[in-house]
Amino acid sequence: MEKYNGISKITTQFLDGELSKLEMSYNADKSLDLTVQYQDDNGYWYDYEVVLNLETGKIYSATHQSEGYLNKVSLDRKKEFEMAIQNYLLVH
Amino acid sequence: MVLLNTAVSSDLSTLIVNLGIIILAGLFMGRVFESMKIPAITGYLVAGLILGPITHYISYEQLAEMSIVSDIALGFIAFQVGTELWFGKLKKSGMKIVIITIVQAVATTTLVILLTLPFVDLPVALMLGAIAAATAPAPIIMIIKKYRTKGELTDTILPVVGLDDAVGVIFFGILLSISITLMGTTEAGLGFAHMLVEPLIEIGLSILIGLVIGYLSGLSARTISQGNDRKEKSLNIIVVTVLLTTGAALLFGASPILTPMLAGTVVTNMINKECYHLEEETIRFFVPPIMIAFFTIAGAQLRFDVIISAGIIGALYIVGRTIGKFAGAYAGASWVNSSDKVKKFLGVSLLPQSGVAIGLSIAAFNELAPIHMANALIIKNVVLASVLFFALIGPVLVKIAFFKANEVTEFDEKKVKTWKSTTVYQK
Repeated sequence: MEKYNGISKITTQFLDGELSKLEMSYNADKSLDLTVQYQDDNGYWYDYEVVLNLETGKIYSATHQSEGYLNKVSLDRKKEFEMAIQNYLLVH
Repeated sequence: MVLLNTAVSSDLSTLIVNLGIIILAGLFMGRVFESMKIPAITGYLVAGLILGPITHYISYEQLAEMSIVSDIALGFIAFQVGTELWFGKLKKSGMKIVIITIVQAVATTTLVILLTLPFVDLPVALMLGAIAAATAPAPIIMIIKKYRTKGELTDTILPVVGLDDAVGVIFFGILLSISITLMGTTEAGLGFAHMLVEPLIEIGLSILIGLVIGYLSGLSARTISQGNDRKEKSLNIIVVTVLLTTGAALLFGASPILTPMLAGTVVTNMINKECYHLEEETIRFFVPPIMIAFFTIAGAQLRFDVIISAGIIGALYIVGRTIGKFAGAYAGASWVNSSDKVKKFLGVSLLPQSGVAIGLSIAAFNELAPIHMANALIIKNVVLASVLFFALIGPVLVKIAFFKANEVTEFDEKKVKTWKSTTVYQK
């Protein structure tokens, strides 16, 4: 469990929110999908999904959006967050 | 008989195919707008505009046959707004936020009613005033995340927006009941007691049905244990709750907006945070096609002739809402001794309007059309056209407000580059 505390810290540091759910799925095409679901102080939830290419070790796609069918809006990607996640996943 | 069956099945198949096309068009335009960083709902409305008043691919009669989609979608919207009234969250936000939210909502509603009243019947003015209170969080969230804003304005606006829709829906539910009574009664037969009693019965019934069904749903939600099928169970409970509350409200003459909203509030306050999140997540996976269809149909129902003839009312709605939000937020913030920047910029930041306002305008149309079609059309078209206006202008104003309030901590890359190159050039 200690292993995932790092992702929690990265989420707080770069996305200003508390990690509420983490989903990882390993794909046979040598990629890893990571979905970080986090919540801000006001109870709004957000999804940040990154797809890491395990061959190159780089993120090749990512989406960031607010949750909820009435509030859904596409948000800007955060390079610092993606770099931190990429480095973290490669090390651990 | 065979011919009749064929005709019915042909109508039904056309309806189903049209529904598929509506969802597809909405989905496509939603994605296009999302890629332009505009909330998807605006894209759904534009898709509807293309299918309806622009190309006339789908007629108003065909759209009327899809009213069941509207009723169900409205139930889900109201339920969702109800879940935002989670007392734990309200406690955390504090009395300051509650006061600001109520004051700005009352000011906006009152001003829109007063400005539009000389040009429309009282029930129309009441409906426009109530709908004007609603605010869309999406553009505000987008700006806050993009520029990583920090400060008192940011800390105030998010909880206010979270609560604002709930306050708006409560106003709407009460004023809709009064409007129905006003419209449905001839002047000679209109007594004060009658005007008061009928809405009170409707509101009372809504509270009763919402509380009872919400309580039973809350009890059921509590029994969901950990396991792979918990999402499925949660979905079943929510769908049944929304359908029962909406259907019962329509059947017994209660409010189809207040009833599911109250059920949502009761369920949310009976379950723990984890269940609450599960509930949110579950709705999110089930509802999108219904919502896409609902908002696209709303766009297709726009009528340019009504918008043009009601132009002055639309302009007054926009002016009244803008001044009301600004003045109301200023007054509310002054009351609770907020800083000058909150007083100055909160109202402007509350201008975006979207999903809930559209939903309420459709709800008003559905309820009032059988009594007075012309008035119902004015409400729907004025609100839909204004929503498009606020969807485009709102985010720009929110951005300016945060920059003026000095709460932006991250700037556009382009601007940083320009600044850097200017520095180099100066050297």
